[in-house]
Amino acid sequence: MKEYILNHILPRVEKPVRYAGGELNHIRKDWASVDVRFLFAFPDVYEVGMSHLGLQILYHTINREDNLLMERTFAPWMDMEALMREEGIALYGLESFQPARSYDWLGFTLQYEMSYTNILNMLDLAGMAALAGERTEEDPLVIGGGPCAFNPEPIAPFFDLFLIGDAEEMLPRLLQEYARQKKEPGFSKEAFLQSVCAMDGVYVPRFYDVTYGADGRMAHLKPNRPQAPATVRKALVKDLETAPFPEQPIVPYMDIIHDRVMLEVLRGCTHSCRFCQAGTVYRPVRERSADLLTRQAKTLIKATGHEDISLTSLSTADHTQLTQLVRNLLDQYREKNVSISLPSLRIDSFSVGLAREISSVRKSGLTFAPEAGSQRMRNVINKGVTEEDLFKVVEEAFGAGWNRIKLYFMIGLPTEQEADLEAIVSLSQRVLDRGKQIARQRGSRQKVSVTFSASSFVPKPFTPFQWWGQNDLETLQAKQRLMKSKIKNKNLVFHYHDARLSQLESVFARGDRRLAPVLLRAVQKGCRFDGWNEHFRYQLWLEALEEEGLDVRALASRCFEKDEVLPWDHIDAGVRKSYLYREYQNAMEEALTPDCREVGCTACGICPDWNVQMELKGSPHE
Amino acid sequence: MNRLRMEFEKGPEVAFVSHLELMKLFAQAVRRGDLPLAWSEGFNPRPKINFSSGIATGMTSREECLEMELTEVIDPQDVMNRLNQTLPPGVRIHRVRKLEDNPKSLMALLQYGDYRVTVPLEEIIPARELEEQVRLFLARESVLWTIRSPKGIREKELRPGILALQARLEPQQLVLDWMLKSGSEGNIRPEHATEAFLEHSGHRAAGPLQLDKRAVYGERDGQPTKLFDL
Repeated sequence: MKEYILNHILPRVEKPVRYAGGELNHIRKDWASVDVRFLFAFPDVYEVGMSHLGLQILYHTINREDNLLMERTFAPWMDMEALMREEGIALYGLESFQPARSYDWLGFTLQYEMSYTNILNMLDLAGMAALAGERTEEDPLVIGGGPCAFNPEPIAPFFDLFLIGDAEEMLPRLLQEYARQKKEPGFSKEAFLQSVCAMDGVYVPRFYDVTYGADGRMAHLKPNRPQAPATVRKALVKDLETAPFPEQPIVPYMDIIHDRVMLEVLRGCTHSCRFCQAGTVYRPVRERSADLLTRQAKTLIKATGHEDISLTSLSTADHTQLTQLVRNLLDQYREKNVSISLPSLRIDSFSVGLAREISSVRKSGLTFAPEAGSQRMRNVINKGVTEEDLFKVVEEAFGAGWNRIKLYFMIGLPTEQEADLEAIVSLSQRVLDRGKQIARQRGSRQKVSVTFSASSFVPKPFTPFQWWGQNDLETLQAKQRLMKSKIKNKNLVFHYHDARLSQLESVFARGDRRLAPVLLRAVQKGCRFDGWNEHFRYQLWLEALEEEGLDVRALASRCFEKDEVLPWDHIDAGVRKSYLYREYQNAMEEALTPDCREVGCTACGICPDWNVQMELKGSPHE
Repeated sequence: MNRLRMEFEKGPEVAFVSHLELMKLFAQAVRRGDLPLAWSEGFNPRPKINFSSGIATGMTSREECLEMELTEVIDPQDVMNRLNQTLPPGVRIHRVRKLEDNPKSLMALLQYGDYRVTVPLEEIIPARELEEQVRLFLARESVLWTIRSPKGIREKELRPGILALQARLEPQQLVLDWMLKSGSEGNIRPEHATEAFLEHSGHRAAGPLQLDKRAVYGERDGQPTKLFDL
């Protein structure tokens, strides 16, 4: 099959290197020599999936066990899919070109709700039934992980199990347990699932029944097997210092979105921004030491030859040993044309000083995320940054020679008024004005530009705003138009995205199992790559929802009551629901909650309830 | 300064890698090998690795040429060995030599390419008939080919750039060996020449063409000479 694909199919598609495999550091094992064959399926195209650090971590973690094997597959682009269907070629793994259905496990990473159609499409391309209940003992076990696994209900019927939380310790354990049991007589998938369903992070949806009240709200989500726990605790890697990391990442030939070494410097965040799910579900904060990271960087550059090291995390500037780490890396790589980058900067002068040190000759733009335009709004979302902070930072940036600044905002936040929207534009405009002034003073004639983008807020599970309903579509669109109308200067550029996509994201983010048939219909109608503007078919989604008797507006903008059963209540991410509700109330009062790293415990619950603590390697910044 | 010229192979494992990706691949291999590669000056430093031309996506190449500049003098064989250890599967350096003074760039020296195009066939062509078709094709004074590009449609005269053609039949495929003009003074693409020949002889490919570049040539004393040896 491989020969046929390489010679007869790939020459006829765009970017054939997506489907060819063979990259440096890929791992091929003899199928007969391993106990378990796992196919990692990323539900988007190759170049997006190969930027995903999680894939590299798990690829390394699983493959380093002699008796386990992990290969990769990605969503084929439309042209390749058409040829595959025409010529009867099933979805295959890039390493061995074996069909997906011949693996023991098929794992999807759930990065984004609007990738769900790709998941179902890939199951179809694999020749597998979408519903887990219709698959047989001959089919691979289908598992899902990643951030959206924290509310897996909309896709629960399609999966055999989910792994919620940190996967790098739990997944190999699961697979080894499977390897062991598989050899025993009387093995069945059901028996295996029963034996693992109480392990941390494991959620087997078919072991839970959901009932709904007459009012349409969820009534219960309860176990139907004695082995299944009422609550599923997320998997947590306690010590990041000793956790596996990819020592020889696969080096794609293709120019991928992030063509660089990714060093995960820490996990978790304590800023408690109220819109942010990742900040909640990845607690507690766990850092890797500067020494370890320096050694890891060396290993990774030697294994890959990349030009850039990215210090990645939710908020890298918070790392307590960042200065030391950056100095080490600069010393190691200054002569070798390897640059260092931080994905985003905290709004304080420390960050800009740091950025100055690490930027290469060419100053590309600097990015900051004020998230809201007015102080009131920032207090509501608990992003305590002041205008003074922001201006101090941008002044330093412009003074140091940066000409392009990017500002990230959100619209549609709880309690938002027109004045808050105007504040976004006005703030961005004033940053631009200040930049031009400083450039003039410096005698520079380079053009200064400010780009600000406003994404439409989607309330997410496990955040204080999880009870709050999204602005309706017309409101979001009107807000976008309003902001556009306020822009006076052509060097102030405004980016925004299709609000209809954000609306659907909201439907699925806080949805329950009744959405699964909607997904099936949407895929059957041809929806895929919804996150790609040119392929998003809103009309088809509306049809799919209508055919299931569901109203997109009601779902996207639904408000939950305080004591209502939420579709993710059976999952324990560590942070208490009562804390989240208290934070919701604080938001309405515009009260700030400080960072527990700096001021002391704010009682989110995870440390006492789970007997864990923050792992900081240095002392917190002042 | 230490300028090296290398002859390398782009094998089937990396057939689908584009030219830009190939350039990146070499830069990464050099870094993995810890070799002191020279970089250009200025606002956007680029690695000093140059090729004679781009190798199209989907094409393999047996004896391709590149030049590399290092900031230190290192034994060329040593450089070759180190690179062969860090290069990914499918890319291999076969020969290396140090360049003395400032010769012309590879791009400027390139004159011809030797290509083998394999055409899947469903029909059977008698060997005599094939011979005759080749003879008639080469006897033409003009071979016009329509090229569609984002800039529009134009007609290109291929004949003067076709220096040689040999054809032979294999089970279910036709193998064409072309010697074509290549480089900045005129470039004939093997797919175009092949499609023109197929049209001329009334045959149809039963699948995608397989393209393999077998050698690159410059000219010395009016004779095609392997680019590496110039």
